[in-house]
Amino acid sequence: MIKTFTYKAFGLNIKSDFEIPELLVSDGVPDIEIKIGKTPQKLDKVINKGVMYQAAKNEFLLEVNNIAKYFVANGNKINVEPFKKEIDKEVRLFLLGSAFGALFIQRGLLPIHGSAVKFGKSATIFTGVSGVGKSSIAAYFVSQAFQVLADDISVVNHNLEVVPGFPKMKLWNDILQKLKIEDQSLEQIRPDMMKFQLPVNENYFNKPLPLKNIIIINTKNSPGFEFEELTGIKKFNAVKINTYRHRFVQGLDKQQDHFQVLNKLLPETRVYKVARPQSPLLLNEFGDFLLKKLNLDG
Amino acid sequence: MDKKNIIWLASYPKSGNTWFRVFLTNLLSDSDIPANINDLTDTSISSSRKIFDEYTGLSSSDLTFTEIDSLRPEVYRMQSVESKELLFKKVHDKYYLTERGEALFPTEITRGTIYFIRNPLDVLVSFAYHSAKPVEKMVKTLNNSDFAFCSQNDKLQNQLRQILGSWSDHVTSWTKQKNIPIHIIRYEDMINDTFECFKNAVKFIGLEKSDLEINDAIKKSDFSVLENQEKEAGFKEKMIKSKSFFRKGKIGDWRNYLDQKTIEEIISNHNSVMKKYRYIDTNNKPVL
Repeated sequence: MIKTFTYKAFGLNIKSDFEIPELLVSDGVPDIEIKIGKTPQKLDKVINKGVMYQAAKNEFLLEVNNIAKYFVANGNKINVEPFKKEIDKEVRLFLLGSAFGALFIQRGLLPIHGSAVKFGKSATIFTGVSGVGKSSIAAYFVSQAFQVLADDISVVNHNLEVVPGFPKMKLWNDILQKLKIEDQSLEQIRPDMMKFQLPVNENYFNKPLPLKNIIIINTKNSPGFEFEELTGIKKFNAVKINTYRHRFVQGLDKQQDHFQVLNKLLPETRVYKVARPQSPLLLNEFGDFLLKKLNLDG
Repeated sequence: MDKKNIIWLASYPKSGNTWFRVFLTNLLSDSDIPANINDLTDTSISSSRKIFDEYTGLSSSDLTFTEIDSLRPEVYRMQSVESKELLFKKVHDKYYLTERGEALFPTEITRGTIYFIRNPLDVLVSFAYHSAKPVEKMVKTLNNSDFAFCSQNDKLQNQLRQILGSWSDHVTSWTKQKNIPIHIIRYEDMINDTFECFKNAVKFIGLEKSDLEINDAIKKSDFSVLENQEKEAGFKEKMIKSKSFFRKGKIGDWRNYLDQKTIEEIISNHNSVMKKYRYIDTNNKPVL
């Protein structure tokens, strides 16, 4: 009999053909099955595609050169076809990234691109474009003994709660140094990159929490921090475009679900646009500003 | 089917690229008032991480420089297919082939490249000011064949890596390639012979615009307009360490800043290209 592995991540029970050590082990009736197997050459009835993906109603295909192909169907099945001899951390990296993102959208969940931190009895999501410091500020709060629910993808469920993802963060070397994390045993996410996987076991919160704030981080070329609370259509559009891989939504024919979940969520959530100086990245000052000005901890 | 609908606006930094982008935005706009310098979205930079991530469906922050390079031509192809209009893309990369042996900027989707070149002595002064770095350090940058933007491997930078090479490498990479049509504009001609220079560029792009429209766009893009806009509301393309993006824009301002040793170093390192573009005479003396 083939051995299988069971986990819980993002509020979902996962059964997998292969080990996924990033995730927390759990049992329960599987919501999702991950298998090693063939993937289609291409999808029929593609609605939209990108350079490395194709999306159709209930079907999604992703290819990462020299790593693997991923076929995600009906929000409950992922086939992984590795281009390498074995399933390794690189194969899992894109599984837990873009492939999971497509899966969440298929299930009508709202994945937001960014990290979620527990403040008081609720969660705050830090979002914004790539390179703006989402994981960095979350890691700073972890270093200050706050707890994190998710890094990179924060999933909001149908009860408008942020569900815990898994107890790992991805951080670049410069941020580890700023936070004085000098653990030599940290693993690189990929052999050629100075980006590491940081386990956050004690600082991981493993229950869903109501979403209180979404903070969209921007950079500016002047000193000092600024913030603005967004309302109306600006608020709606800002969260919409910070949906993880928002181009997948249209490709998977899920605009209506997406629209509905945003409409339900936004009256209950505060959305702030925050600007920090583009350099240097002063995590202490930025963290203090967020805590005090936005009363995160209150 | 491939469409040739991308115009690359390529240059080494501080060579008139942004001024031209402001002009182009004004030329293509119906508004009576000058375009906002913070809204030059139609000429977005080709090294945008956001666009790369959206079009590939992957996080560039999880990919190596080589992997990103090999996907960039595909991203441009897809943008070309999706666009019904001409696409203008600002470029600071030199022209080169990726590891797969294909051009970073694909021939089959390219209508042409406008290449902006400026006296490296003036580039040096302006670039040093813009980066808030001493001139002595900037000389090394202009001479460095491995120079690249956003090339640090241990941190995530806001744009994709861009390989520029030395000033001369950059110029020759674009001007000697034979794959895509190129129209070279000297910054000094943009200043001294603005109308003719901009009119020729408009013709190269293939836009049908009257002399009146071109003149109107030039007026709306006057240096004083840009300078005032920046004073009032800032300019998001400015680097945080520099005081302003639009500084002087003058020809020959290097004479006020550079010592003999620096001048000679630039001239000896970039001699043939400087000669070719008439920045030094046959006796290696600066012309402008």
